[in-house]
Amino acid sequence: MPNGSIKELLASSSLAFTGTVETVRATTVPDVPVNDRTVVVQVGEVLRSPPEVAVPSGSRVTVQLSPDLPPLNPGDQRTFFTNGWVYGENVAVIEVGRSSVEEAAAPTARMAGLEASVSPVAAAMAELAQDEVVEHARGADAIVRARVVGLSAVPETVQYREHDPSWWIATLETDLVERGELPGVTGGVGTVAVLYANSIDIHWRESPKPKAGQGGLWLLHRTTGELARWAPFQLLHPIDLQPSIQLDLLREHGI
Amino acid sequence: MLRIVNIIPRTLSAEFQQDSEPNIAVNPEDPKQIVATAFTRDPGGGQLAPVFVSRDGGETWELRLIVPGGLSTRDITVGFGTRGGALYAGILTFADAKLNILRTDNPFALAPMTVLVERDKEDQPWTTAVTTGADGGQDHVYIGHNDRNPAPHTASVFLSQDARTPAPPAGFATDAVERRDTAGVDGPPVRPAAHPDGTVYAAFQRWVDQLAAGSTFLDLKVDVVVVRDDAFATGANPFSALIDPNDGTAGVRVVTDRFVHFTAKTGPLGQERIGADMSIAVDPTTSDNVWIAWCDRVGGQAGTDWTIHVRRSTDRGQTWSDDLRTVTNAKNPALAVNDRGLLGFMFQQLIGTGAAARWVTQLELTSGAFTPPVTNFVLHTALFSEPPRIFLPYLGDYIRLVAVGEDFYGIFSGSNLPDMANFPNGVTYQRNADFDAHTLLGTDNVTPVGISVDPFFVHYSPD
Repeated sequence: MPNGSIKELLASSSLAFTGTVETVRATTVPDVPVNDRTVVVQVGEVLRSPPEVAVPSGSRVTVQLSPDLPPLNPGDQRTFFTNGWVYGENVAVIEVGRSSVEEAAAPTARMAGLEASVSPVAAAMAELAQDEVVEHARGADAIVRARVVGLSAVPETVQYREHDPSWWIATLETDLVERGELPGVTGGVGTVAVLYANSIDIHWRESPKPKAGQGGLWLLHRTTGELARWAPFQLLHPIDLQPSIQLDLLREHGI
Repeated sequence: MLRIVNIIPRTLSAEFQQDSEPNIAVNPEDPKQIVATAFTRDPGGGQLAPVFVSRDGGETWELRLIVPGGLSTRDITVGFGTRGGALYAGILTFADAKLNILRTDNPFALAPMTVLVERDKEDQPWTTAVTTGADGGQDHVYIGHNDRNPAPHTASVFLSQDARTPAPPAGFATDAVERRDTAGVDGPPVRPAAHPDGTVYAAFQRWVDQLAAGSTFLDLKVDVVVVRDDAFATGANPFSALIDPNDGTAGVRVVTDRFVHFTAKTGPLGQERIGADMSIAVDPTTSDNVWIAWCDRVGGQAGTDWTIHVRRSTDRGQTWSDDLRTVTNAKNPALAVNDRGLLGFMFQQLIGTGAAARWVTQLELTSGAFTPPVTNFVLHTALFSEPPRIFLPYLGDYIRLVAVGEDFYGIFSGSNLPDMANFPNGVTYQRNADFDAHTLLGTDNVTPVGISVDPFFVHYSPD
């Protein structure tokens, strides 16, 4: 096994593809400094890419190989785990790690709920997505299943800057409390006020903005400082709202 | 010659983000070297934000990941020293919205920029630089910023007299240019403009009084103030050369008690917010001449307009003309003066009403202070409603125009719908697009991509 598991490599990279080294000490992107670890790779199969980056099969990508891994020669085939560096007429990437093509791309892994096998990359990406939710939930101060029954602006909100959060309060009606002490909720049933940034300024574009009637599994964070007078909990992260079915996942991980 | 280029590279043809609030810097020693910015993210979601770079005068562009602080920025402006090729940036980091001042001695070298300064409670850094020294090695850098640390005197300028090589903080210190009381803060835009002879101007909005407030707006009484320094702001009391004759305070009030409707959270003007628009430009042929543009609501509290005003001073900011140009329902004024004294004025205007209203980005050129003839180019026009807004600002809280020699270089953001009718003076796309079918295409040149907001580079060269 190479420099880290497939899962570890995926966690630290954004673009993974199989490919064949065409030339060494070469680049398809001007200004990329060329040394004996700069290679041009013909892309075989893209295993993972950001939604806005398309590196078609057959295209050529400049890869700055990791200094911690052996150099490669023309004809060598690998799975490359990389991060973006330059996007122009062509793409240059920086290698994080690599594996053999078979280790990453062959359909040898299994995923729950699927009969057919999938590639280790696909399986690892599914695990990473789950891990992100699980780890985030571990840090939550409360986890409830609830729906939005009220939305209101925090009184006395006056904006002095374009980047002010514009605090609003969502009232959540709970039917299950998986974790946390919530005043006003007994036996899992009740209501809890949750603060969130309602501004659509770029500073707050990622902040969750509950909608009327919206339901699911809410990962809540205790409000601190002066804001605590408005609501005991806050929504801070895009993944603070999960489908209710994620409750099973969290319970499997002891949350 | 007028050239307009969509700077999204071909390998990002599948991108669909709102790349608003652009900025630009041109290397005066080699104007083929250009750096541009916008609210563009690292497509891979990494830890470095991108800049766009061109080595061929803006004909082709690449996206490079060299800005520390997260996958994007929350504000970013850039400026080259006038010699030596160093690039400076003022940003608000994605991670925690702290102001960072950054430097690289070569933005084409692919190494991450160096953090020189980090500071909390800040807003809207605006970067400009001028170089002196027999060896062309001394970069004077001025970064206007709205600094809430010394509230209520928040309009400020970070400055360094020799920023190119020293270790952080490279001589940077901040000076509050607001010397009067305010309504708690000044407005977001603080714009410096430096001349090689040592004259440095800065313009800002003094928020005098709050007239009304709600959860979505502030109604304000505002002064437009200009300060000046005559020696690169090296003295013990920088930016004190201009004294207002009416109150004896440093900083001439170009206009007073103007009504501003500040809407940070809503977009009353074609999906775009209003309240903070300002530009200042000093004439390279003589620092006595300085131009200013700002926006306010002429109709007052009962009004609905948002009007750009352009004025000039020919006595180093002591007195100012009346409005030489006004543009109604417009924002993002950007001024620059070339070395012939020709003023370039770029702006974005909402023209029309109802569903048919369009954002029209224009460049005007005048050598006679807007006395006809004035050359007007429509750079871009698009329906205000397409694409739908993802966040604010929709187009940007600013655009930028700079002059190098006789040429003007600018950048604006707008709908990327590939329709030549939207570009009366032409356009070049790097990203894949079918202009016959009015469709953007992915990197495979087949898959349709939805329209979004892209940054567009502009280059005007007088023949």
